[in-house]
Formats: sequence, structure tokens, C-alpha cells
Amino acid sequence: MTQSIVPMLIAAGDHAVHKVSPGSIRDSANPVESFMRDGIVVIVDIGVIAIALAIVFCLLRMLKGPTLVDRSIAADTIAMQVVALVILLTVRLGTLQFFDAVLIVSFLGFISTLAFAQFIGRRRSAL
Amino acid sequence: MIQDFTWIAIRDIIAAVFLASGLFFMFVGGFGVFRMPDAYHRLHAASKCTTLGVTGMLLAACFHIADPIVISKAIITVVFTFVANPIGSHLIAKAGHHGGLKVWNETLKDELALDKKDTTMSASDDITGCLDDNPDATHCRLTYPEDAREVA
Repeated sequence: MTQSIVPMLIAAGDHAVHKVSPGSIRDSANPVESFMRDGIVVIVDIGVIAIALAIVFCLLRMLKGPTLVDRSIAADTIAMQVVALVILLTVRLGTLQFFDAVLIVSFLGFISTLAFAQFIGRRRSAL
Repeated sequence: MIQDFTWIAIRDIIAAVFLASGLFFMFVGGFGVFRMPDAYHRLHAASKCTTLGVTGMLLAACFHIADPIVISKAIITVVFTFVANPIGSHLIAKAGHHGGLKVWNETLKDELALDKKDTTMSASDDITGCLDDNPDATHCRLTYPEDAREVA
């Protein structure tokens, strides 16, 4: 059961991929289309590294940040970087199974930001 | 040569431009959170850069996968991000300022702190310390003009 969870996940979203055309389906006779297809793959691969570096910077700030405000800012930024990772996954695979996570993760980041603001405001000292 | 630029190629070019710019903004936002000297500066970097970055990457996804599902969800997410991200950063900055968060020592002016000292300004009715368990929370009441008129 555990080795077949990924095809089950892919098959669970098959109703949403009716018209989506990932890069492998398109014909490569056109030179500009094939160049841009490979270029977007390269940009996504670089972008995963860039966003991983940004998450590392945010984690360093979360470790180092002198106050609670800095840590909550870092948490909010990490939520938005996770949104960016999900968008990169959608663009790279050309499927729609993961695209719902964009709205959900951004909503969770907003709610956690509100909760942190309430918590900081009720403590009456941001330190 | 010119007939090779079909609609799919043009869409992918636009998507690549939006994707690169969005990734640049996301990386700059993450780096600014680490690098900026002050919590307010960090908030500035975090909110603006992540809003622009997520918007650019969602536009790239719209242009790359030209599907109504992606476009509608991306519009919903962009509108939500443009509403939610400034609200969240404003609330965190307000809570931090009310909690006595220090500004950078090269900051030129802190107008909210000046307005809090001025009792004629509306910012002087400070919500800090207005909890129910605070015994000396008398300054929380009767600070609005209509309440003052009722008492008078």
C-alpha cells in the first residue's frame, strides 16, 4: 500500500488535468517552443535552490532574532516561500493536484500571523 | 523564423519572465529578513517582497498552464494575498510598537511614538494595557470624543 501512494495521489487529481499540457506532451518540432520549455525547467530548478536559500535565511533569523516579532516575521515569510515552492512544483509537473495548496498555505500563513499579532499584543512586551 | 513564435512559445516567454522576476523577489525577501537591521525593516522586506513574488509566480503559472482552473484560483490567491499580507504585517508592526519594540538607532523619525505622547492625537488612546485583568486600565475608557460628551 505504501509503495503505491504516489500513483494514487496522481490518479486522485486526474479529473483536474483534462486540458493541462506539460512539457513532454508538446511537440518539439518548433525550436522556440522546445527552447522555452527547457528554459522554464532550468528556471524552476534554479528557483528551487533560491527559495531553499531564502528559507535557510529565514530559519537563521528565526534562530537569531532577538525578539518574538522577528521570529513571527520569519514564520510568515517561510509560509510564503512554501507557497512559492508549491507554485514551482505546479509549473514543473504541469499538473493541478497541488495547486489547491497555494490558497490553503497562504491562508494558514495569514491566520498564524494574526495569531502571533494577538499573542504579542497581549503579552504587552514584544521582547 | 518569425512563424516559430507561436502562441505557446510567446506564452512560455512571458511565463519565464514572470517566473524569474517572482523568484528574484522571493529570494530578496528571504534575504532581507535575514539582513535588515531592525524588526520594522525586516517586516518591510518580508511583506512587500513576498506579495510581489507570489503574484509574479502565480502569473507565470497562469501563462504557462493556460487553464481556467489555474487562472481562477490564481486570481483568488492574488486578491487574497494583496489583502492579507499588508493586514498581517500592519498588525504585527502595531503589536510590536505597542509592546515597546526598539527602532534602529539610525531611524530618523518615529511619528507614532510622538503621537502617542501627544494627548490631543487619536493615537494616544493606546490599547496597550487595556486588558480585563489590568487594574489601572482607566485610560482605556472615555478617550473617544463621543464618550467624553456623554460623560460631560
